[in-house]
Amino acid sequence: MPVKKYLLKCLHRLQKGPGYTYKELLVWYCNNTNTHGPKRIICEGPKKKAMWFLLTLLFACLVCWQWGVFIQTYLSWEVSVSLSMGFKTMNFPAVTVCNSSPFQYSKVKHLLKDLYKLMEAVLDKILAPKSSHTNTTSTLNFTIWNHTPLVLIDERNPDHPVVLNLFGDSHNSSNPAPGSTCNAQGCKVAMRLCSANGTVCTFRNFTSATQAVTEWYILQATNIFSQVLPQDLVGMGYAPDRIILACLFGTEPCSHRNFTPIFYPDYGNCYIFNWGMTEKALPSANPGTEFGLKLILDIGQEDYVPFLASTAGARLMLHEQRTYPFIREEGIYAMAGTETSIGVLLDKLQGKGEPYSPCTMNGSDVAIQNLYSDYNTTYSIQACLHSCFQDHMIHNCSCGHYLYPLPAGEKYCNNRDFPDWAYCYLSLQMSVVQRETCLSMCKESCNDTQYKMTISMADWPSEASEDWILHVLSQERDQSSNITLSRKGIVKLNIYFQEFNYRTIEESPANNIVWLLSNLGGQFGFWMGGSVLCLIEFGEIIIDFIWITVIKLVASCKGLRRRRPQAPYTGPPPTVAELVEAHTNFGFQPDTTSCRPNAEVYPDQQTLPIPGTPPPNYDSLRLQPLDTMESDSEVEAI
Amino acid sequence: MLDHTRAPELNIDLDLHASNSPKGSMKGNQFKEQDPCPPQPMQGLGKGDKREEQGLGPEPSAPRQPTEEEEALIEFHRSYRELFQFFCNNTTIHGAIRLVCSKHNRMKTAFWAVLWLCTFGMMYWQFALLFEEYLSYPVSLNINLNSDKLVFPAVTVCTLNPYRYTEIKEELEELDRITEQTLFDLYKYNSSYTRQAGARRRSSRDLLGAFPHPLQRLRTPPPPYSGRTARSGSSSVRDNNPQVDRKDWKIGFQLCNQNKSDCFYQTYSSGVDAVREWYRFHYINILSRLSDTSPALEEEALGNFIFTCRFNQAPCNQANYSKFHHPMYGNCYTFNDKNNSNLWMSSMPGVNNGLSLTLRTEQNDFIPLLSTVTGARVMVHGQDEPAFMDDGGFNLRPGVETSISMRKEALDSLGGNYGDCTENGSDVPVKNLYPSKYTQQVCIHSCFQENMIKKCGCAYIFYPKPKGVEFCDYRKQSSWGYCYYKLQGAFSLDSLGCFSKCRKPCSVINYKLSAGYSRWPSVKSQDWIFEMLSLQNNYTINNKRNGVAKLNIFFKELNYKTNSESPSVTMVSLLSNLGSQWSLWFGSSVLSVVEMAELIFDLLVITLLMLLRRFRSRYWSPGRGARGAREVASTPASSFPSRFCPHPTSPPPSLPQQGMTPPLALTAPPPAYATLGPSAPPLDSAAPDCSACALAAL
Repeated sequence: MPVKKYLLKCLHRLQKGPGYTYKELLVWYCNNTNTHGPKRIICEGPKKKAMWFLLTLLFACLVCWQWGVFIQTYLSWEVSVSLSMGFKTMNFPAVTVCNSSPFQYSKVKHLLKDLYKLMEAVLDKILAPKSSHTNTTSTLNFTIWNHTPLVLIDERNPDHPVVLNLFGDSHNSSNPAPGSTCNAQGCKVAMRLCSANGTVCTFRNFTSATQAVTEWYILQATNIFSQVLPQDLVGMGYAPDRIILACLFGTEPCSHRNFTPIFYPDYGNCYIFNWGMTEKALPSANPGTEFGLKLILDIGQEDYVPFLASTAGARLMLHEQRTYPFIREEGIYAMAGTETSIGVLLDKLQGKGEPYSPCTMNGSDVAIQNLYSDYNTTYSIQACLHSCFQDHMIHNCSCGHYLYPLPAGEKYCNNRDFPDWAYCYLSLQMSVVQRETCLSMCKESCNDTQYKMTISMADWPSEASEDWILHVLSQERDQSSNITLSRKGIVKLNIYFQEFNYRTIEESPANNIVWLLSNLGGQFGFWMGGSVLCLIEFGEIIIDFIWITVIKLVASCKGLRRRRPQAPYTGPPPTVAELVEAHTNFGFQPDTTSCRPNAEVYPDQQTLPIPGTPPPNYDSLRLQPLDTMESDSEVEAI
Repeated sequence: MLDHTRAPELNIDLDLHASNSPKGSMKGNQFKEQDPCPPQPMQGLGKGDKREEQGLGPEPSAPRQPTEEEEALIEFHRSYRELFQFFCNNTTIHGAIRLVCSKHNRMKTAFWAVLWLCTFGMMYWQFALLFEEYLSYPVSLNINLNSDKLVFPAVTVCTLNPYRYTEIKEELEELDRITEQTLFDLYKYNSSYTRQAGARRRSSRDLLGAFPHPLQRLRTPPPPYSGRTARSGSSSVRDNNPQVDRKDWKIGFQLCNQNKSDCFYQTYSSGVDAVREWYRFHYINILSRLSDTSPALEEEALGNFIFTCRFNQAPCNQANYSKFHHPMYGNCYTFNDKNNSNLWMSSMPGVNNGLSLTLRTEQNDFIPLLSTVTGARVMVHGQDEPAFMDDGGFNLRPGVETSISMRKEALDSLGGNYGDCTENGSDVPVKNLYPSKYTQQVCIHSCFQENMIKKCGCAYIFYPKPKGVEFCDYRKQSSWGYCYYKLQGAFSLDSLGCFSKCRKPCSVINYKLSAGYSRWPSVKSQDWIFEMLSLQNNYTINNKRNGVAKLNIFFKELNYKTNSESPSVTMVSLLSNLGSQWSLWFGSSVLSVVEMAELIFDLLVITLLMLLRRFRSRYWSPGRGARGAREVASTPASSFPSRFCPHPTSPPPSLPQQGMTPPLALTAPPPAYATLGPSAPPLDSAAPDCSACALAAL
């Protein structure tokens, strides 16, 4: 019962409505609103009323425009940058050192024997093409050669270039004359790459025979090494105690045991100091050479692979802890016979991430699987690019490249299992679409750390101290009283912090929510003296408007229903005379006479107004509908 | 038209009828019109109150004080409700008027009340964010690119080898012999001195006692033996086969404290580092015995080290440089120092508009066991800054022309609350031992030296010492080596707190350097260049290696970058943001806040007045209790308020009829009190009655 009463009360309240008309509602709103301007519309005269209406409308538009500008500025996600530079105690960077030659030639000689013979034959062919070596070519292994042979392209006649295989004389002796006249100076050396069927071939041109021979050798060596087990590859490289002769960090001694070994395909066994993976990272507390890392390395260039490494020196890189060392892209060389001093300045960039900067925090939102996550390292854009290339390689060539890590269940490329991998690899590497795809998918890391190096060199060891230093090092490593080291093979490194060791560039949002709301309020208050409560007032007025409109619609529907009984009277209501005549016609002749008497009655009426009687009747008839309308309005009011 | 004109007339007539007869009208229009006219009945009530007051006025004309109090009460509102309605109707704060003008609609009033409170909370949340941002003192970075004539920086060039002084020459020769003997014992290394084995060995044996802390081979981990047992251990090692467990050996020397109770070994993994560090340790002790004056040698040394010097294609002179001695790098020469009479200015970039030096880098009379590199050490720094060759310098290689291009960069930070930096170092709790302006490195070195003097009792020779303190020498302080290495370990671990004390300077100028190397002289021009050098500078080619280096230092471009900071949020912007928030949520201003303050003030005043009235009523009631006759009189007084309660609910016409009864009742008590006799009690009794009537009226 109380619920029903309450519902009935609500129904009556809704039917009753706010109790205003449109005009009254507007007047009340203008009189009571807090917004500046509307009150003036009802207080002033007719001309000023229009002026105030236009002014209020104009300023309302200005507020909307300014609000749009501020919201647009806020949504553009601007950042402000702060710079800080100084010196503080921080972790010493991780140092990765490698040798220029990935393997010791004495240990990989058996794998490269056939390739070495082929290389010598190729050089003989290029340097002295006229001499005949038919006897020596019979002992060569041409299974390696047939996949990717080196060819000479004779372009002296541009319209008809002639392609000659370097060892084609032995197979095609019918054209000795043109072959003998072409040499490295007159013709271009190129590498021929064919697909599995041999139907589609492409040539990779070189401007220099040196480049051609070196690239060819690297390609063949990659094919050979990719078939060797990883642990065997590690054994063929340089051992840590052979490379690292002396180590001193600050005042603490260190040895090759403080280095973490890692195999890098380009440079073989690399050793990382202070990587921070297994033990805690070492801090450095003061600038200067006395507080940094000092290394003495022996690169042993007597045992370099002849055609694989043409550069002699140590390769090193500084990077953050727990990051993978991409030493081919970011490393530097250190010269033998010198002391290389490297002053380090840390450059730290801290970005804000989406939506402020297009960068990623930890690489989880990048659509490429990070193949370097197996090393438990952090994300970097270099890792993403390498993983992207390897993904394309596996997708297009069905095998992975030797230089990059493999996903699970895949194999490295080699000629035996994948005969056309070289053709596929080189076409993919020279593809612009692949590079652009990878660059668009990979993102920069938001927190990036770079080490800026100031590199300088001095002769080491000096002429006066060369004797005793080489003697001590030889005694320590080889237990020999004779000098087993050479000045051409030892490198000294000094890595230390400079006077200023860090520079931090940090981003912070330029416009936050307080800034946006403050400016919105400022504009609204400036133009119209308005506030949030004024907006809610306006919302209330709109609700009242809708309420009044609904009630009026309901009332108009009810009015239409009441008028339906009067529907049979089409046109003006009939007069009393017509009603009387209708009754009389029904009495006499219902069918035939009803039509004729009507026609006759019309002329009678026309004759009747002539005497002057009709005017009072018309007035009385007209008075009756007015009375009925008034009665209807009274009923509605009740 | 006629209908429109008739309708308002009818409304007006209805209003008149309503005012004349308060009976409820049958038509709905009257209800609509009454809704926007709530103040009219209030005015009527107000008029009624006034009439009552006027009626009551003449009767209690005798007591003047009550009239004064009533007049005072008129200025303030009589009730909280009245005050609240006045405030809501007249305030400029948005939304307050809706709390009273929609009184007939309770749902709307409740909605507006809740909305008002929510808006209040939102505004104060935004205020908190604004103050939080202001108190974090953010700064914005301005990067300016300036172009102007630049002062050429100071350039310090050092030999990469320490210099032999005549005073300590004999001691250095003895140290060389001991070191050579050690190398022979450990590594079977024979030097040229061992040719005279007989006589030299005897003298070396005698001199063993002169140099403590001998270098020896140790098995890992080092045993905690005393010196004697260590010696016996080393002798036993010689007897055994040394090739066994080669990798476990380490080279080091022993250090003990004052009373030999605590010892440790300073160990190295390689003999190259061990011999060099051991030699350096003893060299420091020898250097500390050197007197402060030896000018004659230094003057001679310049011509031997620097062959040519040119700046802006003009030769240098004596006034262009100053000299000092570095323990490890030997003689150092600073060009364009602050003591220079005419500072060098650069008005054009390029190699030909900078400093050009030709240096002699060969080692004729240097120490091969202490310095194992050949070349020179160079550093570029400001005029007011000391030359920390270890920290910011770089090496030059002989046989090479090194071209160093510079670019100036300045960083100005804000101090105080905005950044953790110091202006001139006066507020840093470390005394500056250097005769230069404050830098962070100056502070750290001074901090280390301060701790060294406090704990070891002597000064480290690489840093300047205060007055009255000597450099460390184990002849005077036998355990300074132990103390020094322990302190250096603590320094590295930041146990001394130097890095938390030393703050960075607010203004920093540094030079970005990039170096290019090329071979100099070339093979073709080598002969005539060396012949010219031998003719002019007495340069003789004694060695197979090249012993000359060339250095070019110049500005790459005269544009230099300035990074300066300015506050992001100032007091003006803070106030502007506060005003904007106020305007957004309430459309109010500071004057609106004054209105709120006035409201609070009025509330307090009304509260005080009500408390005062209660106090007065309590003060009169004990009087009633004291006398029985007054108790008898109090019963009719209490009956009056009960009778007055139903008055407001009754219609107005009945008011005057019942109004007659109170004066009749009031007329009865006065004669009774007057008949009692005392004049003071009647006055007290009259006042509460008047206040009771006023309360009833309210």
